[in-house]
Amino acid sequence: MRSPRWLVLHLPAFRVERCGHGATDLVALTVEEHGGTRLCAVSPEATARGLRAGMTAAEARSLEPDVKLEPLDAAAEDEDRMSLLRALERLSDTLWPLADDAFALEISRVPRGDATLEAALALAAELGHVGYAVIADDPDAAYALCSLGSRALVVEPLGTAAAIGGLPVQSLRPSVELLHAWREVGVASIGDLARLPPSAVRDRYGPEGVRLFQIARGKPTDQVLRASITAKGGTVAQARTVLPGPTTTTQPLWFAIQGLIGKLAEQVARQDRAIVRLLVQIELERSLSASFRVRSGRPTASADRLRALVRPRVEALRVEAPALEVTVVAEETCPLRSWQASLYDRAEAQEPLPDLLARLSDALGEGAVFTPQLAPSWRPERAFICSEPLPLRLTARAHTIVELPQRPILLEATPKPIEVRTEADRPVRVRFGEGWEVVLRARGPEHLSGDWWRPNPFDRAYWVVDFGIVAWLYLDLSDGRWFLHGWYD
Amino acid sequence: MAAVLSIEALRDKIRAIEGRGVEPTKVPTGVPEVDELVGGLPVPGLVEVSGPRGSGRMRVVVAIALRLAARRSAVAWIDPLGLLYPPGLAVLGLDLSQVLVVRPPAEQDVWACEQAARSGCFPLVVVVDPPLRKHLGARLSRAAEHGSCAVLVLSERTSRELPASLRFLVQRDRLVVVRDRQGAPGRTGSLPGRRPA
Repeated sequence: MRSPRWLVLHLPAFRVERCGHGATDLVALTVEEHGGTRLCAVSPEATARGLRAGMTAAEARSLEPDVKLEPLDAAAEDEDRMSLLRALERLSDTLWPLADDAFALEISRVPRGDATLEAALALAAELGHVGYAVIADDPDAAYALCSLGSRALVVEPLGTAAAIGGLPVQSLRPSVELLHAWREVGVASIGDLARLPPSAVRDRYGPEGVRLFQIARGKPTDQVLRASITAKGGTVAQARTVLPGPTTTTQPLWFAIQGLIGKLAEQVARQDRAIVRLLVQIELERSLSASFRVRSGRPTASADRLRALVRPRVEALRVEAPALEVTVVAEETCPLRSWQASLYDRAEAQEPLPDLLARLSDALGEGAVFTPQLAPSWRPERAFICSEPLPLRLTARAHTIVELPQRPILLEATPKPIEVRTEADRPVRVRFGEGWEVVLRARGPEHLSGDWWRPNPFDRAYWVVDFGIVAWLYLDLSDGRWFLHGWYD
Repeated sequence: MAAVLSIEALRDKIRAIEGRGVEPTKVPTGVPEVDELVGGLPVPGLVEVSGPRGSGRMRVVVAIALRLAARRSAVAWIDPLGLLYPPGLAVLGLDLSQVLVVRPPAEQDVWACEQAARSGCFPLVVVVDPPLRKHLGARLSRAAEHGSCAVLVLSERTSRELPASLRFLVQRDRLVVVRDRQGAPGRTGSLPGRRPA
């Protein structure tokens, strides 16, 4: 079996270069955090002078008074990173933002890796970035090599363990706890790690320890980014990716998902179908999983429209454990038809109504956006159901005739107890607010009862009562108490 | 006259600072009681109808919604407290298949109002008794302008924090104009529809 091959392009000054600075400038990016200004990225020159991410701005200035501090524009940085990724797509169709300043490209099927490496460096230079590139059997190993200064290196297949054996173990980016545990047993270099007994690693250091141990021993990990598309029943398609490394942050997850959406949309369009509903499933460590569904509003085969709907959901996602694998399923599809705005749609609409409804439903949750329908129930609070709002049927009818007794327009979710004085079983005074109000008109009773076969039957005598304002009251015939249930507003 | 001009100049300046450039125009609603009183609703603009629940505030809104339905225009009903009772709307003649209700959770109520108004999909967005939040009025005003629509807020009490260009008070079965940026306040008229009891 051929081992996978990865090209890692490391741009150590990417975050400051995109702000118009060079790698040799003394500059750092800052964020407002914990009530203070802290450094979040530093240029190579600033690193050489002892500045580190996490320092406060005051500490940085006391070390280097001339340091230039720039506030971070996270959104613009993300945009630039995505643009760079798109530019790199011409070198590989499987690529991945490995870190804030590094990109991994799978090049197993590329015949001349060294030419791709030169092309990646040339592309970075063309875009104004200083780049380091390494080709190896594992992306983390390649990143370790280029982050420690290998400018352009091709590690022979199966030669990764030897190439990284002398590097410090922290260049594999273990968690702080794992690094601490390894230091306690004297593991300082990647070579030291590779010499540990496998059973001890498995028992003591968990999945993260095992994964880094495999890299240290030069064994290609099975977590290779691989997107597969399968069709179920000819109409439902899904795309799946195993992430190259566990991640808890949004950006790499989003990158994987948006790639899958592109592939899935292409596949679905080839079948002359459009996606109505997507399911995004994320497999996490410890056998956990996370998922969410997105309805597209208008059926579509446009990857960009689907991405616009899915992106806010991914950004709001909080996963309980590192993500390992992502699957995007086109759960519901329909024949592809072009969508045309209705003659009656507002010219002022900034987005089509179906898109807005899908977006609101996704953001506010199930049942928050609905078109009501009358339901055959005597219990007033169950006299309507919430149905999905699509499509809104706009007809030119001004009125519909509904054979219903008069009903209030506002209903309290829970009926509120109220004091009522009666004469000859008719309400004459109502205690409302601070005092007693005289009832000017009262119409009733309307006797509503039912649900006797359920645990909570009801038996009520309703009155429409006007005491300056018009309310819907009922007398609970089971216990003689009065309740305020609604308002004729 | 000079004082009036300077106030107008000041308003223009505020609009420029807020990035607003559109002066609302009154659009007739087709409801005689409203149009004769104030000439229509300001579009884009924020309208407040205040009064206690049960005073008849909804009669104004439902009358306008019925006229819009006749023109195939949907109204978005934003109902953060879950008070709106659709059978009551049906009894008044609204076709429920044309009614869109949004019941956002408390922490997203302003956002939901804003999205519905900003989208421009609805000529009228009705917000039923929203809990008053910081910047609600300013956000809704900007959203109404962006979506070229009227946002009608029903509230139990007049709120000065809501920068409504038109403000009604419903009192003893009468519609009172409390504020009208394009006309004189203090006029009163009858409410559309009939008192139910």
